[in-house]
Amino acid sequence: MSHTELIRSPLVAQAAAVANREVSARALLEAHLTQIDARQPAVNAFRAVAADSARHAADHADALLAAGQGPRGRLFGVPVAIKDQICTRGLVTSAGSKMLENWRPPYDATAVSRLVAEGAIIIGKTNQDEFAMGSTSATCAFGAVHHPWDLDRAPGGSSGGSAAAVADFQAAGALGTDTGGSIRQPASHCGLVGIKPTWGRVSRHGAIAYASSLDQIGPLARTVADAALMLEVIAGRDMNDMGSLDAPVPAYSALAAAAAADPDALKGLRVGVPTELMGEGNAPAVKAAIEAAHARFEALGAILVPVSLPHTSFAIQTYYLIAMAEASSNLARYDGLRYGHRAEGARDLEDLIARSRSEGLGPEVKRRILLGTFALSAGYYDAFYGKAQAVRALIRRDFEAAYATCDIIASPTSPVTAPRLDVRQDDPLAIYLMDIDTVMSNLAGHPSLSMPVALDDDGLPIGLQLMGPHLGEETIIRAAAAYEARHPFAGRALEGRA
Amino acid sequence: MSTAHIDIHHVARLARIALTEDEAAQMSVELDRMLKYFGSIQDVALAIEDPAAGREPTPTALRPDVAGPTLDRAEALAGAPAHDGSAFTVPRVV
Repeated sequence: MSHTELIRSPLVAQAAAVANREVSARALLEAHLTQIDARQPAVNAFRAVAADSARHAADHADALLAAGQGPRGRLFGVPVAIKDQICTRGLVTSAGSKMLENWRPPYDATAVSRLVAEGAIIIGKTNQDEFAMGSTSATCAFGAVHHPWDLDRAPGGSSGGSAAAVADFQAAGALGTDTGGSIRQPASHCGLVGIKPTWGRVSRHGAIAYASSLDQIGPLARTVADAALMLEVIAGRDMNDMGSLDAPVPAYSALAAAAAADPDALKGLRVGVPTELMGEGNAPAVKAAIEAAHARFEALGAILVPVSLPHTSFAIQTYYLIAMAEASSNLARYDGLRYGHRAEGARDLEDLIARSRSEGLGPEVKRRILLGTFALSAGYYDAFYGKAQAVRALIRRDFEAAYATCDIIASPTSPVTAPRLDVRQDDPLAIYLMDIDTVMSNLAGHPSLSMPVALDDDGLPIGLQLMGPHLGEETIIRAAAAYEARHPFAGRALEGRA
Repeated sequence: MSTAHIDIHHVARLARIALTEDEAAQMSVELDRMLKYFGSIQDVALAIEDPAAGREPTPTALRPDVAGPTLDRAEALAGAPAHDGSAFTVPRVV
């Protein structure tokens, strides 16, 4: 296989090629490193490339194979990228922030450990919005990430570097984090499959906390099968995360394969069409694409069911008040005392802490900390944070009522496609409002997947979001795999782009 | 809509963030605008009696309360801005 063919193969095919000794793990790695070298100056997907340790791991994998002791694991020899928000032992982990510019964690996140245990090779850390707060990856302290299909556009965020790396064939798959859409939205903008699991399905141990009741780690990949396999590997109980669910992990990859092969996989599936998310707030091309996707589901035997999520118009307020409040608490640890940036010349301890935080944190992070602090402060706690938690319960009830009449809910992932980087957005609130499609899954703690279904008139990908009930990953993965098998995405992710 | 107004200097002190006067002025305007929008959740009528209703059971993955290996001192100090080999060093508190 040529270098180009190698890196454009799905992750599953790359793993099979290594296991069958059609290609060495080292050759596969070098093909990806060559692509990174060529594209990093333009795309800036990576914060740090772990070339030395990756080569060492690849050589070890090849030695095992040569000695007849491999493959070891379902991802044996496959290069994967890890979002900078996720801890990797000894490898710089900065969460896109100057505050942690040179920090090297003393441990791996559980999700990373599980990938490595299945033979994956960590190729590097990807750029992102600072502390996962953003939806363009332009607030990264180490430079904005550029969309690999159009360098003048953003890949989305906050897991934009992970999305760009996978869409640009710099990695076979990647991990991101999703608090309000940060896996699904960049997946949508970059023509990828991204999964935000049920809260507690994947351990948060080693994910730098943004909003603990909303954060989840999940995969970004080029196919449903690839994403399903990565999820299957990283999911499961972990005693290092007190929110970790005690529930067996289904064989998501086998379920996806079976659904892809079954012509009747979608027969009788009740697909909810959410009234509040299908309105005129969507770009015309997005609305048309999602309506066409609904029609395809119906043509394949699914039953479309109109559903209402009545508290949708309060979702953004609810999400941001809770996320910002939790962030203000989680980011209080960045004080320059034990790790991270420390200001020089401070008068006293209080001055040192305040100046370290001011110098180390960017404006969007400060904005969210300040508003979150306000929402938790005396005299305002009940009216803002307390009320937001109550409305959150109402949103959960909306979903419960909807799932009484449908199996999954299919909506746009984002009202728009990838935005231009040169259009200054001076109104942060206008950016927040673009999260309307994704935040409710986080508020409810439910699983949600984005898959590419169309291109707009500028050739930019449009994502379809499939939401499921608690621990409903099986249902949304099966639906996505069945749809993808019958309507493969004819975008650049599969055509290949040098 | 909310008519609450953020005392930016008070909140910045609570958050332990030092703002320049320009930053404070800009943040004050931005955050007041956000607050007006976010505060609209106060218009939601709470018909349910228990805000926890409909919430998934809180998962628990609690480890036994048994002492075990902890972070090595050298590893803990490895990322420190300043240390004396055994502890983090900070400006005098008292």
